[in-house]
Amino acid sequence: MNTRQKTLKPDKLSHRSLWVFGLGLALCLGSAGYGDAAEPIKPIPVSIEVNEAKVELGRRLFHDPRLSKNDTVSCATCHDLSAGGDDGQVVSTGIEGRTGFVNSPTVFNSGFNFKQFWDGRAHTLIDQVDGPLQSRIEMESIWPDVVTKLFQDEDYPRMFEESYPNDAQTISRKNIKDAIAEFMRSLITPNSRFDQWLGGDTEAINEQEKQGYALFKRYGCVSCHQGANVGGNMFQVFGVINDYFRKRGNITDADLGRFNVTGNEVDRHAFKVPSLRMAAHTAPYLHDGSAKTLRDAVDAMFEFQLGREAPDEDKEAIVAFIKTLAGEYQEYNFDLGQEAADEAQEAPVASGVQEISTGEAAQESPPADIAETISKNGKARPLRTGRTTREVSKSGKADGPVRTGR
Amino acid sequence: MRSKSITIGIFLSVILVATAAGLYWMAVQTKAGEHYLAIATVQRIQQLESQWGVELGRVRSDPFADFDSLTQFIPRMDRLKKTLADSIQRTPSLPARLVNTTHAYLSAITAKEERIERFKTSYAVLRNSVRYLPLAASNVMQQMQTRGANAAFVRNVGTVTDEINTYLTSPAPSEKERLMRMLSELGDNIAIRHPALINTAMNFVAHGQVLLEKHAPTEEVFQAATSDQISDLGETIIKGLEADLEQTEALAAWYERGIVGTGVVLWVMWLLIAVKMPKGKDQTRRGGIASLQKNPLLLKEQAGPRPDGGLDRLTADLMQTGRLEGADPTPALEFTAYRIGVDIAAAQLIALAEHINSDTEMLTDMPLQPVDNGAEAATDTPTEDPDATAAVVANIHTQTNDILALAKRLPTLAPKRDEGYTQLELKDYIDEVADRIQAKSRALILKELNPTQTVLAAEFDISLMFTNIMENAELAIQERGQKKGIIRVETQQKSDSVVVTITDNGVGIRPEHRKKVFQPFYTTREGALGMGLTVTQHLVEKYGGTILINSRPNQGTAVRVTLPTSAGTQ
Repeated sequence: MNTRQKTLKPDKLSHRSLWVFGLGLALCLGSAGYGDAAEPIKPIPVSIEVNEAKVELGRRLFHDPRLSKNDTVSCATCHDLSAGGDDGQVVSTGIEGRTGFVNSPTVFNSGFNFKQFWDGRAHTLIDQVDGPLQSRIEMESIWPDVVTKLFQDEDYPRMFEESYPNDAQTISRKNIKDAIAEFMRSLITPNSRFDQWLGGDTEAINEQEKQGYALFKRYGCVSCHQGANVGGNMFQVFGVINDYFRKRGNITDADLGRFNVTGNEVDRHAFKVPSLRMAAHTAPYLHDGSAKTLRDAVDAMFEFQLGREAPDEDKEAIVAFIKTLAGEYQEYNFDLGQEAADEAQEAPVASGVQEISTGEAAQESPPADIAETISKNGKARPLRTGRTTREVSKSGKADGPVRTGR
Repeated sequence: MRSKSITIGIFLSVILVATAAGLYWMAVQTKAGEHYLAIATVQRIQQLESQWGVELGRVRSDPFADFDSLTQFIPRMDRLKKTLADSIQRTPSLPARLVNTTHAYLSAITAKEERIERFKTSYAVLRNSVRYLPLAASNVMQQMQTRGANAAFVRNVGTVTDEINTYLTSPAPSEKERLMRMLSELGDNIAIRHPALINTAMNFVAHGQVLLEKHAPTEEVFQAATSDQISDLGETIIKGLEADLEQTEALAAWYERGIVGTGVVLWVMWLLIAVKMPKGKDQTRRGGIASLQKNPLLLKEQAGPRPDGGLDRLTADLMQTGRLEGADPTPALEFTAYRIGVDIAAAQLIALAEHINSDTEMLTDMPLQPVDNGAEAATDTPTEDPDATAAVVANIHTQTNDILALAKRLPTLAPKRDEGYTQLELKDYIDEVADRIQAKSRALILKELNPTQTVLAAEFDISLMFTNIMENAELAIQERGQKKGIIRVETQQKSDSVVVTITDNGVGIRPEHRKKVFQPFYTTREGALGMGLTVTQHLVEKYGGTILINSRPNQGTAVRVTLPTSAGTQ
């Protein structure tokens, strides 16, 4: 009856205890690692307390196109979990082919963001749900229609009843938002190689990546991209040193950023600093999607935010470091993997991971030697096999594949 | 008559209950709980605010601190703001001014939160530039040296760096203008050099400008974000709420008093109706006896000399020696009772005579005593002849002395008692007495005689003690007309005493008679002497024990005698 608490099911017990054990391990290692000098980047918690029933309900709603006016667009349309939580487009395509104004951010780890949307207009994940659902260019729904449609479903009435047993009206705007928000809160990607390194595993990232992190701090990137989410905890003006918008031209309303919310001049062109956790998988970058690759984004940051020059190898090291930030979510392992990355660079064709056309469901069997990789701390971490969902890099550099469980 | 008063009673009761319900509803409507919630919320906001300020200070002092710790305050503050707004909205009694102050407070908090965000934005860039500026300066100088230095320009870069650092420690607005000019001049002068150098120098200039521009506003928003201004507003709200709370609670207290008052009126009314109604005839209640036993009231009466009543009967009865009503026919017991009766009567008589004596002595002295307020009035207007009064008093005195002498001789005139003290098993004697009473009574005597320790006493004293109690019980049952009369006799061993409880379901003792039962010659029965319980008490006290009586009219009487096992007249 008590929906706030997770129910202990026998089949989930071992899974849960493993997580608890992992959390304990992470805490021990974490505290050991932070003894002397605290790092400005913190690991993502291995697990967070969520209501399982609401998460499952939210997961269904998240993938349900009936939330849109003409049953064509779901949240997952633009926030594909297997693709890293976004859709890889400059701007997303919503209902009836309408396009948005800003690049869609990843939904992963969004619960760690201090506010939601690029301009931070929603304080919470719950508030955030209203945005895309009612937006004319995204889902163009009105809540009563959504509630009516969900009522006619076979399973929703029961699922809502289970998740909100004390409510007079179980299927409601409030509860739909709550369930989706709960699901989004559960979308975390812990156990990245960088977090393992933070936890004390000195071998978890290679020399270039370590160098990348040192440079990330030294060049000042960490001034804004910090905390557990490597970003997502402050607003920052885009163009601190050099004026990005004058150089790019064609300024839109969306470019005004937080100014649209507060009307304060100091907030002109201010945006929520995006999280870099899933950056390896969420090209293109920046609020306008103008940076096609991570390297492009790093270049832009150096030019407009830092006002500094840096040699190519430093920028490459930083890119390599950023790629170590992605962890895993349930069946999806977003870690590009040390061995896999090395192999991809050495023998890209043999590993069958490069230049697969976007969106094509090419079923391939990867070589057995990358089907499973043993992480450096000795724990067996399955590297999921399956199709490569999309090409990350278009610059010819091997940025590595995205592997999913499908 | 009876049904009419009940009808009126019910009618009034309905009105009173309705009044109480109305008052209760009003009391609930005052909703003082919202006040407490609002006050607590403001206090929590203040607490959170100061914690947020402390955390902000910590982050500011740590150049490598991340902002995660600051963001956790946002949802907590959001919740508190919502709670406060809701709570104020649910309290319609609040004065408009207080409501407006609260709204101002809420928007002030929002403004403060925005300042905190601006601080973060500004500060992130600022601390980055603080770190980078010296490095940028050395980059510029390095490039200059490799490409043929302009000594003045290098010097200028060094000077500007130093001066900006000075400005950061003690910022003056005029300095800011001057340094900004210097920076732009540097930028202009460099424009003729190598492109890479231009880039490096322009970065230096840009970071210098960021520092100059952002430093003061960052400090400003930091100060604003950590100021106590909002707390003062919060205090105002708390004071306002408390004042309103006081009024509300006073009102609620009046409603409460009203409810209690209504209840009292209701109670008194029914009490009056009950008193007016004819007495119930035979209100036997189950467990009456048991409840009496549980709660014996101490009714020990000091057998002090009482001049009231019985003087005539005293002398009359004394002349007919030995004819004590209700005494057991057993000659020995009769003798014991008689003997004790004489002792008590003599003592009573002596006390009485001495009392009269002392009174008459006072009467003799009185005319000779000066009166406090007005000695003249006393001497000028004598109402009686002092000599005549003195003669009467002297006469009374003489007669009383005769009575006194007789009374003192009385015990010696009566035959001596043979008092043999032995260790007695109480239950044997009680058993014997009970059997004797049972033989002449229709009542059922229930014996629960547990073995007890022995008591050092004279046999006849013990028999008489319980004979009197049980005879009284038997008579009470007769008097009530109780056909199913029960006398229960129990003995119990306590740590150092024996407790004997004798309970009956007889007529009981009326409250107005209760205090007199131990008085000598007090009786409610026609033809009785009124010495039974007096003698019993005398005997109980003789053995250092206590006697307690609890009684309810028309339900019964419980008598509890406690005798110490170790004590006795040794």
